[in-house]
Amino acid sequence: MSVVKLSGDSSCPVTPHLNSGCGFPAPNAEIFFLEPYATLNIFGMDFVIGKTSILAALVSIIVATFFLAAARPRKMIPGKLQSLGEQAYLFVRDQIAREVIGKDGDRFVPFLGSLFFFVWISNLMGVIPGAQFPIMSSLAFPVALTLMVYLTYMYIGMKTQGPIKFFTSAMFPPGVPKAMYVLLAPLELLQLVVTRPVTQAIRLFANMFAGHLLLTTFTLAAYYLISPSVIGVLGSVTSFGVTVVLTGFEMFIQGLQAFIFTLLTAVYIGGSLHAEH
Amino acid sequence: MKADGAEFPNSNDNRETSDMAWRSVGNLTAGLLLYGGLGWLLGQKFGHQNVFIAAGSILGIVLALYLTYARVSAMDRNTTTSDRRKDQQ
Amino acid sequence: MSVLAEVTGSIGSIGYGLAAIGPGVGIGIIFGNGVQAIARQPEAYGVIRQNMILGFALTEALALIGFVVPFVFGA
Repeated sequence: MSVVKLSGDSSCPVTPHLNSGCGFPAPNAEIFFLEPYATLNIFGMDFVIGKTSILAALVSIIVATFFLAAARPRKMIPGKLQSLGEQAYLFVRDQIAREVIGKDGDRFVPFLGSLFFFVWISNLMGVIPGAQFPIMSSLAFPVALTLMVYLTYMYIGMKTQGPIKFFTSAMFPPGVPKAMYVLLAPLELLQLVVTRPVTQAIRLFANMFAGHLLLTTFTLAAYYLISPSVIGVLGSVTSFGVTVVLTGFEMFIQGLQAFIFTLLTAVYIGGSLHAEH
Repeated sequence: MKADGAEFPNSNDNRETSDMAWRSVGNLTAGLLLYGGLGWLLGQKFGHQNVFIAAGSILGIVLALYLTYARVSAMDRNTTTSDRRKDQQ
Repeated sequence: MSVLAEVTGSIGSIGYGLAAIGPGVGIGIIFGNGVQAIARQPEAYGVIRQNMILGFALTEALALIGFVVPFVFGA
C-alpha cells in the first residue's frame, strides 16, 4: 500500500483528532509525489517503476485490448462488443473529426481516437478505488501527449502548405492595416509556436491536479472530523456527502477534458490542412 | 440537417468557428505573455518594474483584442451568404 | 487601534479568485444567449457567431488581467 505523505503547515498525523489542538493536515502538492516501488538504472539513467508507470501501462493495455477484441469479429450485424467498439469509433469520427476537419479528417481518426480514449480512461483512474490517481495529474504525461500533437500539426502544416507559407499565412491576418503588422506578427507567431501547446497541456494538467486535490481534501476532512461531538458528526457527514457529489462532478470533468483535448488536436490539424484565406 | 454523421457540412463554418473561439483565448494569453514579458525586461533595465509590467500587459491585451476583432470580421466577410443559405436547406 | 482579524499568506490568489467570478458569469450569459438566439433564428448564425466571439474575448480579457495583477502589485 502506498503511503500518502502529508506535510502541511502542521505535523499532525492523519487520524481523527478534532479537539486535540493540532490543526487540519491539509493536503498540498506533496501528495502527488508517490514513493516508487522499484528503481532501475539503465545506461546511467534512473527509471522509476511506481504507481504512475504501472497505471499508465495498465491503461494502455486496457484500451488496446478493448479495441482489438471489438474489431476481431467482423460481422455485418455486429454483436455487443463489436457494436460498442463501432460506437466508440463513430463518436470520434463524427463528432470530432468530421465536424472540425471535414471529410479528409478520416485518416486522423485512429490518432484522435487513441488520444481520446487514453486520456479518458487514464483520467477515470482517479476515481476507481484501489488506483485513485489520475495519471494526467503528473505534468509529464500531458506534456508528452502535447508534444506528439505539436509535432503532428507542425509537420502536416509544413508539408501541405510549404514551410514559408505555413508561417506567413498565420502571421499576417487579413483586414489589418499594414503598419500594424509589426506589432501583431510576433503575437501570432508566439501563439502558433508556444501558446497553443502550452495551454493545451496546462489545461489538462491543471484540471486533473485540482480535481484530485479537491477530492483528497474532502476525504481527509471526513476522516479527520470523526469525533463524538456535534460538530464532529455534522462535519464528517457533510464532508462525506460533498465527496460523493464531487466524485460525480469529477467524472464529468474527466470526460469533458478528454473531449476538449481531442477537439483541440482536431482544430489544430484542421488549421494546418486548410490554409487561412 | 445532419443525420448521425451520414452527411457532413458543406462549408467550413464549424471549423472556422471553433478555430476562432480557441484562437481568441490563445491570442489573449500570447499577448499577455509577450508584451508583459517585454515590459518585465524593460523594468529590469530601467527600474520601476511594476509600471512596465502593467503597461506591457495592458498593451498586450489591447493588441490581442484588436487581432481577435480583425480575424472575426475577416472570417465573417469570407463566408458568403449563398454558402450559408446552402447549409440550411 | 488593535487588529481584530488578519489575512496572511498568498492574498494574490484570493484576488484572482474574486476576479474570476465576474467573467465566469459573463461568459455563461454570452454563450447561453448566443445559443438561444441561434436556436430561434438559424439564418442569423453568422452575425450571432461574430458578436458572440467578440463578447467572449472582451470578457476573458478581464479574467486574465485579474491573473496578472498579483504579480504587478505583489512583492
